[in-house]
Amino acid sequence: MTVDAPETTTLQRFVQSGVATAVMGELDNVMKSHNEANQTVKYPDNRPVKLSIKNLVVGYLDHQSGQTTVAVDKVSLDVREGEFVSIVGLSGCGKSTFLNAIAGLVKHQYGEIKVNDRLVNGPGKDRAVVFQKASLFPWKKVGRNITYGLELSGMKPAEAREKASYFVNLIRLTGFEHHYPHQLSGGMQQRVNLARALACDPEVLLLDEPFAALDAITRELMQNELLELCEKVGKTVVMVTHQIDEAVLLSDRVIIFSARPANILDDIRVPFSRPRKGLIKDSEEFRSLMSHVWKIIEGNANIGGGI
Amino acid sequence: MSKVTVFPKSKAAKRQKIISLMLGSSVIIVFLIAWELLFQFKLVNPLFISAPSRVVLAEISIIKDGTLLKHFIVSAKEFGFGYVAAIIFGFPFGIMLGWFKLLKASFGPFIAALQATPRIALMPLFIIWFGLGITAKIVVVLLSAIFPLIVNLQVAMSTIDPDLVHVARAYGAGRWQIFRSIALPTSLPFLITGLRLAAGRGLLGVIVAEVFGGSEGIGYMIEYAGSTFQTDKVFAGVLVVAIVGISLDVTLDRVGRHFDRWRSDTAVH
Repeated sequence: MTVDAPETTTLQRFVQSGVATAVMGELDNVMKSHNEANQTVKYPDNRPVKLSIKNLVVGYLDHQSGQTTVAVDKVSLDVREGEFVSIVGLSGCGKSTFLNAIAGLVKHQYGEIKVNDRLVNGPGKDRAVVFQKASLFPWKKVGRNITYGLELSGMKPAEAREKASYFVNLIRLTGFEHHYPHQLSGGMQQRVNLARALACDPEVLLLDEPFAALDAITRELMQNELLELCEKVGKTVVMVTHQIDEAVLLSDRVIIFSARPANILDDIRVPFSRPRKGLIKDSEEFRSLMSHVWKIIEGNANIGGGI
Repeated sequence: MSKVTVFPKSKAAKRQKIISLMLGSSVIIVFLIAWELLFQFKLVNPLFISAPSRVVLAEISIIKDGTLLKHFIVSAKEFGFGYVAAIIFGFPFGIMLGWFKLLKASFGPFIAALQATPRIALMPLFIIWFGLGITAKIVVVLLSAIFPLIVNLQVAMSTIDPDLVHVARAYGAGRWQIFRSIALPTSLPFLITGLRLAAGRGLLGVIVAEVFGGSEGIGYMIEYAGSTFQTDKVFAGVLVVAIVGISLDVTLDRVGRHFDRWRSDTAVH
């Protein structure tokens, strides 16, 4: 097999990584079809690209069975400034691994991730993650929890406090700044989690099934709140979710992942104008878009037997 | 947005607390009265059992003539140096054992073996090595108090919430920052528990070591009074040790509660 120069260096990097030998078989397929990988921009947009992912492959070695699993297979995705992109797919399809790779928490074996044209290798201040579990520091009050990221990067306490009170108001928890996390409800805790990420003013906000641990009513309320919040702060957001309605309501684009190993089945533009209201869920257009997304996921599940 | 309501303790709970306090203290009072009567009616040889009133009188006399203070200062020094040394060595060592798996694998069995050895059995050796003075006793206190600290802090490290570490990593925290912002706060309640256990063990260590050999300290005072049949003075000495032990425990418990405010009320302490 002949490969040109830049690919050789990626290959070398790949071989040096721990999982390399185990994923080697998979690599052949990747290299073969690499040149075919489509880089077409599906929707023309003149906003600058904030997050660029090219031919991303993430595999991991199961230390118990010694088996290699390829979780993400050659995924390319461009997210533009201020865009809200959701990734939906079956559970275990590798979408969370994909998000963790963008966060820098999981090493990728092949391909590249760039934020503002800078290569990602490891966690960084340009990205912030909101996980499914609030995971607030139980010994810190709400305000100090929100400023955790800022304090890590060495912001002065007085300045951080000022920021904290701004975000406490933004997530409508005014008066709760000096409460401990255990005094808050699940929904309130998740709002603090969100504020903690926003306070860092990241270039890209990553949401990993942010409302999955909440009850149905709270989830519904939180979706509306996040919708309003995102339109207010105008962040570039990538969200992984199981909820198709959540994805359609919040996003500019819905990316559908196949069963594992994940690649992109479809990239759907959500036509609703902004600012949106939660009420659009009741419209015919919303419902037909949801069922369209669902049919693609369902069709793939039946072929792959991925359930 | 509504305010969080903190419910005041109910009347029933208050009443229950008062009742249990009364029950507890009445048992002690009945015991003291029975003891006094046993002595006054000479039902048992008074020489052996003394009496609460005699103990109080003995206490007053040793306070007045300065014997208590003299011995107390010596014991306090021995305990203080040993206890502080146990914290200085035990705290970082326990944390490191919990934090670095290799260190635990290497030192774990050795520490378990040391912990199983009754330290006081080594007292003859300590007397040979360090003499009959204060040093041997400090070593006994140190060795008695250090293990509860090491064990508790090691356990503390294993209770660190992996989700919090995951979050910290996602925010770009380095190993030292994770240690400072997660490991240390997590260890605090365990440190307090360790300190309470260590205080009890250390106090026991200092008294037994003084009984064993030497010519100063509360333990020596008790031992000397016993061998000269001054039972009231023995009880007077024991009372002092008990008071010190209880006050240390209560103080540390208060300090612990102060740092534990963030815990939900239902949490197990």
